[in-house]
Parts: sequence; C-alpha cells; structure tokens
Amino acid sequence: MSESRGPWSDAYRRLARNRLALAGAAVVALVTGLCFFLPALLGLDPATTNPSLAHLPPGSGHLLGTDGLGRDYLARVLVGGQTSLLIGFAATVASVVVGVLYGAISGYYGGRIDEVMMRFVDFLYGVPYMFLVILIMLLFSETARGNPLPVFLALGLVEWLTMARVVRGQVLTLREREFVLAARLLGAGDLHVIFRHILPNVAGIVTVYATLTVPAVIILESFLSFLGLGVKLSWGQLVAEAVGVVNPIRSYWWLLLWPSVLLATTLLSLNFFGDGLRDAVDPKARR
Amino acid sequence: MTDTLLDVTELSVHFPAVPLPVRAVDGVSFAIHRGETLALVGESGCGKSTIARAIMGLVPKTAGDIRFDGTSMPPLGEPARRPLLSRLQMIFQDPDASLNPRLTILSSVAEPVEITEPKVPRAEREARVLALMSDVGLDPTLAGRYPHELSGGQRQRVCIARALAVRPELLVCDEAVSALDVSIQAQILNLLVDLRERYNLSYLFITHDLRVVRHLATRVAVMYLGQIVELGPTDALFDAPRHPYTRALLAAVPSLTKAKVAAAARARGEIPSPSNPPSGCRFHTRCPEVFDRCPREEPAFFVLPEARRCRCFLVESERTTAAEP
Amino acid sequence: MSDPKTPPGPLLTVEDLHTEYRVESRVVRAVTEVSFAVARGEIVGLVGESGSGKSATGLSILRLLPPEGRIVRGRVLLDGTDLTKLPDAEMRRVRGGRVAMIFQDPMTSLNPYLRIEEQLAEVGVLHLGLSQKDAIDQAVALLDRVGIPDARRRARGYPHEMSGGMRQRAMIAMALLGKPELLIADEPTTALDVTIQAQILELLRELVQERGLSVILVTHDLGVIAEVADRVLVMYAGRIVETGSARDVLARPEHPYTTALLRSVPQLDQRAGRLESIQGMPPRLDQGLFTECTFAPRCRLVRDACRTAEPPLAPAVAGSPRLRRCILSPDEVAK
Repeated sequence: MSESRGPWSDAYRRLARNRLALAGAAVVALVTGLCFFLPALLGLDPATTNPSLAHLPPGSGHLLGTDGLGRDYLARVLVGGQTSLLIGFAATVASVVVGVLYGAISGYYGGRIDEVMMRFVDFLYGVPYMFLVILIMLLFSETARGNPLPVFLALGLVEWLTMARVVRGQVLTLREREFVLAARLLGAGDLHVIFRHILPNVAGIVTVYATLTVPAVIILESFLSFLGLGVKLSWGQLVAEAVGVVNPIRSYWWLLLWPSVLLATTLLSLNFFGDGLRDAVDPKARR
Repeated sequence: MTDTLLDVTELSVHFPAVPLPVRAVDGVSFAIHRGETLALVGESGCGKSTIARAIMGLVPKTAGDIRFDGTSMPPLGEPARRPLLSRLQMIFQDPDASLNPRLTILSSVAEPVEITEPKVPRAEREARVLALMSDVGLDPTLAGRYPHELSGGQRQRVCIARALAVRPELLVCDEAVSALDVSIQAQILNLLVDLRERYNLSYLFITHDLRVVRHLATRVAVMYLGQIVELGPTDALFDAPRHPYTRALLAAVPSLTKAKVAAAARARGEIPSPSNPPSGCRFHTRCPEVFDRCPREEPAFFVLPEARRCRCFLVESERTTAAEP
Repeated sequence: MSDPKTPPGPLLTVEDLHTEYRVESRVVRAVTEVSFAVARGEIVGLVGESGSGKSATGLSILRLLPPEGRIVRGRVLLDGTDLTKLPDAEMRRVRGGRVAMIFQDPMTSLNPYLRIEEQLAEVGVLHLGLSQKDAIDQAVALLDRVGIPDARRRARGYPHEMSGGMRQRAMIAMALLGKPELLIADEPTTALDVTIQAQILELLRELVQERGLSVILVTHDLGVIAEVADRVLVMYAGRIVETGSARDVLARPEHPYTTALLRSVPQLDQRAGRLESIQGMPPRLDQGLFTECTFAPRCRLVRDACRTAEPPLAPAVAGSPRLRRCILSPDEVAK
C-alpha cells in the first residue's frame, strides 16, 4: 500500500471507470458552460424584439432561428438555460440543507420528536403538489409571478421531503453503530456526534440524491412553465410557447426542437451521472 | 480507592415487549476486583451483552444497583456521570462497525483525548496517539490510514488503543475477539494479557467461547437465561464444574484434546426464550439431572466454599455461611 | 466400510482444481491446485481461516460459484462423472440429488415466505418424482429423524418460528430428502450456540453411520475437526498445505502453518500462558503466481530455499498417506 486512500478515493476510482457517468458529467458541464458564458462572449441578446425578423428558420444571422417576436432564438435558449439550471441547482441546494438537517435531527433524537417530525413530512407528502404550488404562486402578485423566487420556493418545498426521509433512514442506522456508541461513551455531546460521526457518513448518499434531485427540479420547473406558472424565460417556458404556435400550415419546428433537445440531453446526462455516483458510492460494491 | 472496582447488585434489565417483557437480565450480582478479569460466558439470550451495556449506561436498568469504586453510577448523559466516563471503556465485537470509516486512525484514537481533555494541544495529542499505537502493536505509520485499509485484527487493535486513550481502569470487552480469525484471536488475546499487566487493568470479558475464557480470566460467571448459574475461580470451575449447565457447556465445546466431560452431561433441546423462561429453575427443561423439585422452585444462588457460587439444588447441602466472594 | 455391494474407489475425486474470482479488474485465485478424494461414508474436513479457499472449494464442487467466479482448471469426478463438464440441466439434477449442500446461515437458505413442508417437499417432487403428498410425508419423517419435536405440526409452520438450531436441522432434512451420497457442509455450526452445535455435530455423525453418507465439512474450528472428521485437509492461501487422518494431523502436524494454528487455539484444559500467534497476514491472492512458498513470509522456520519456489504437495516419506506442502522434514517442523 503506497499512499493512504481515503474513503472517497475508492468511490472516485470506480466513478472514473464508468464511462457513461463521465460522459454525462461532461455534457452537463458543457451545456452549463455554453449557457453561462456563450451569450456574454458572443454578445447575444435574448430580449430585443424585431417584428420584421419574426419566425425565421435557422440560418445565417440567427443560428437557431427567431421566435414570434423576432428575438434571436440561440440567445433565448442559452439564457433560458441559465434560468433552468440555476433554479435546478439552487432549489437542490436548499432542499439538501433543509432536508439533511431535518432528517438528521429527526433520526438522531428518535422517539416522539421523530414521530412528530415524520408525521409532518407524511402530511406534506400527501398534499397534492400542484395545489401547493398554485397556492404559493397566488400568494405573490401578478407581476412577481414571472420571477424565479416563488417558483424556487415551491420547488424547494417539495424536494426536501425525500431528502429528509433518506437522511433520517441513514441516521437511524448510524446511530446504533458501535463507533457512535464509543463516542457517546466518552461523553461526546450530541452536536459533536452529529457533525463528526453522523453527517460525514451520510454525505455519500446525500451527494447521490442531490445529483438526482437537480434534474427532478428542472423537470418540475419546466412543467410549471408549461402550465403558465413558471418563470419568464426558461427551457420549459420556451417549450410552452413553441407548443402554443404549432399549427399544420407552418410548423415552426425550431422553436420546439432546440429547447427540448437541450432539456432532454441535460436531464439524461444528469441522470447518468447520478446513477454512476450511486454505483460508485454504494457500499455493496465496495471491495 | 477500594479493592472492589465494580459492584453489581441484583441487576435486572427488562425490555418492554408484547405480550411479555423480555427479561434479559434478572437479578444478577457480581463484583470485579482491581486487577482481575471476570469472564461472563453464556449462549444466546443469556443476557451477557445486556449486562455490559447496562454497566456502560447504554441501556437503562430496570432494577438493582451498579457501583463503580464505591459510588453509584448515574445514567449516561447526566453530568454526574462525567468523572466516571474515562474510568471504564468498552471494546465491541465488530471491528468494522467500531470505527468511523471517514476518520483516519489518528483521528479515531485522538478523539477520546479531544473530548475528555480538550485543553491538550494537538502536538501532544498526536504524540499520545502514536505511543498508544505502539503499545497495542500497531505500526505508527498507519496513523494516516483509514479503517478500510486495515485488517480486522489491526482494526481491533485501533479500538483497544482508542479505549486506552483515556486511561481507564476497567475495560469491558464484548465478544472482542469473536469476529476474528483464530490466529488473529491469539494475537489480540496475548495483547490483552500484556496490557493488563502493563496498565494494571481489570477486564469484564464477555464471550460465548469457553476456550478463550480459560486463557484470560481469573474468575468466571456462567450465565443462562438472564441469571448467573455458577461463579468461581477459573481453574476450579473448569476442573470441577458444579452446575449441570456448566458441565453441559464444557461437554459441548469441540475440543482438540479428549479431556472432555462425559457425553451424558450434554444439554437436551433448545434454549428457551428470555420472554418466557421456564418455571422454577430455568435450566430444568434441558437439564440431564433434573428432579421433581426443579420445575417448582427457583434455586437460590448458594454460596459454596472456596469463593464459589452455584444456582442449583444439587449443591444446596454444601453451602457455607462464609462471606460472599 | 468394505460392504461388497458398494462400488470400490472413492465417491468424489477432485483433481487439480483451480478457481478464480474476477473482481473489478483483478483476478483473485481463490483455489489453486486442490486435489483430494472422499471415500464413501467418510467425513473429510476442510479447515482454514478466512481467505483460505475452503468455502470456494465447496462451492466449486457443486458449481455454485457467484457470477464473478469460475473454475479455470481441473476436474471434479463424482463416481467417474466429471461435474465440471456437465450440462446445466444435469448439474441441477446432481444438486440436491446425489450431492447436497448446507450453509452457515439457515435463515438465508430457507424461504421465509414458504411453509417448511412446502420447501422440503420441493426436493422430493423434483428429485424423486414424488407426488406432493408423498413428498410432504417423507419430509415430515425426515424432520422427525433430525430431531425436530412435533414434526408434522412444525412442518406447517414458517422458518421464523424456529430457532437457529432447529432451522439448521430443517436444512439438514432438506438436504437429505434427495437421498444424497455426498453432503457438503459449509460452516454448518458456526452461527449456532455451543450446546446446539454439539447436538448438530452428533446428528451428522449419526447420519453418516446410518446412511453411509459422505461429508465434506468446511470449518475454521479445529475442535470441530477433532470431534467429527476422519480425514482433514488444511488449507492456506487457496492451497492444501497438509492432509492426513484427523487424529494424526492434529497430534503430529507436519506443516508449520498447522503447528502454528494448533498452538494459537486456546484449549479447554490448558492453563493461561502465552498463545503462539502467527505474525503478519495471509498473502494477497490477486498478484499472480507465487514464486515462493505462500506461508514463507510468516513461517518461523523459513529457509532461503523456501523462497525459491512453491513446494509441491508431497508425502514426507514415499507411500505415506500424509501429504504436506513443505520442504522441511516432519521432525524439523515439530520443533
């Protein structure tokens, strides 16, 4: 044994061998890079309308065509991607933070606290998701509704539930492990045990679930946009608009194609990467 | 500093369950004196692990008293327990689950010092860890490794080092060598014997393997279904067991040498459940020497000469009025 | 054992068995050059610590290796038929039929969702062509024989209603239903309490006497070998390092590993003292071929010659039934 290998390096090696997962990660990185850097680099403008250029198919001047108001579609798709991805990652981060803390506390203390906390989660699970979202949207005024904030809230509100349950399950098991008992026998306080022993050992499964939450959030956001409840400009929004103008005479196919392709590709890639992560971290596969 | 380090009196641990509570430990009494090793042996359901956990405070006691060095032990978590924490430590059976996979060996062994003596500077802490590692026979260069890079035997050594970091007086070993390969078991047993001398430790050694007991213990307590059925010095107990269950255990151990107790001493049938122990003497359903009194009355834990005790009517006539061992 | 009706010759012959496991990108040679024979009515013990290859050998005989394992060389002859070359359908007939196997953890061998009698009857129906009713009757009779009280009622119950010892007896009954000639028992008593273990071992001994059953008993416990085995094979690093009659090998071992193992086991009638322990750890089996004796790094008697090549498994004196993988003489080993 030449050098020490941390518990992560085994997982890292396994992940590195999974070509599908790596490809997924690469694609996501590429798409993210394009969405965030290309518009600034190329000076693209998603907002300027130009009725004379309406509904142009892809060609020189407008690589992906234009939409009904003459706006450059490449710009709109890329900037829309920024929003979709941002909401995806941000809502995931929020759900991780809330879910992990909630699940850890519930699982660690157990007993009545756990019962009450989990009943609350069960209750929220039972509430129809759309109902919640509409409720939240209605809380905001007409103008605020196009903004990311209410959407972000609605999405975050749903995703943390799964994370909390997953973390609680892990914590319940870990709590009885002998190394935790050993720490308690030394007089370690609850906080010490939770942060030193419990949380580092759920980090693996949390990472995996977080990676799989991102595409889930993006899809939810797209769905909301499709229903008209989403943000002003995102992939889902673009798809919704595109579907709105589909007609048998002039199919403005490029309006639907580009955001759909990007959406599908990103989601697939995230899922492949998440699956690969899960395989890499799964203790069953370890040595 | 008294000579009696641990004093357990009429300890009972019952777990609530439906329809009947599980009487894991029922009225157990024993003492461990400084420098001695008491082995608790028994098969499944005898309650030996539960006793260990009750002593450490991991499981609440239903009745009885546990005293360490003369003082009653408050429950774990209460501030009054703090001064006692570093005086007794525990080694668990599964070396895999006993170490945090995310911590290096150094961190794991240093943690006790961090918690109980937070003022100790890092450099000194590390020095102590390395010294402990040498003590338990571990190459100090392994300090930066993670548990999964070590073998089972090495991991168990780390656990022992960790337990010793707070300089305990009593070490409770709960099946500490049971999960190890035979040749590794020997290494760890030798180590425990060495450490006992070097640090003047006392051990409460819990195991199901009688062969290990003979090697390590000064006194032995044989348990069955929540009670101690025989207690005495190791050699005396092994050479001349008084309780039929002890004899059955000894007869059952697969032995390399033919110095075995007669096959007629074997126990029949299955071990009953601790939630529903047999009436009278709990061993009567399997005892090869059972007679009519056994199912009706529960025998007391008779005191016998030479610091021995036995819970069986067969020895009742020999009991002495000497002081309890 | 010289019954004129039983055919002469060993029941099972394992010849030069090599088994490998493919784990990620590595190849682990779990079993190397293992050859032995089992006579009818004989109990052969395969003893070794973890990683010695004893379990893998048992699994190889019945071709029950996991997907990443495979037999890469050798033959397993059951009365002349090479099991390694049998088509799957015929191998299935052998498993549970002529050769049966029981494992350490009876809870995973018994289906928790099926009644005991259903699972056992399956054997009778599949291997003996019995009707369900007859199969159940035979199952109950066997459950009774293996010492399960109130067998008919118990058979209608489920595995979780039985204790560990009873489940193991049920497994033995299940194994016997197909009227096997050979039983492979992989650590059958390791997970059981000592008093129950003694009962199970006694049961196995009785069954061997009654039925002329042959048993390959895989275990890490030398005491178990002493109690029941006729012959023993000591395994280390996937190889057989010593073989002979159980009594002889345990009393006068001829390989340093066997000696060290015997000295490291605490004995019931032995007073406290230092146990001899074996320094170091078993070698890795995924590093290709060995150019030295596999035990050399840990052997207290190691010589330079031990490091030049792996010793062959050979008798100390020509014609001796005791084989060992060591270049030293038995006297030197005994010191």
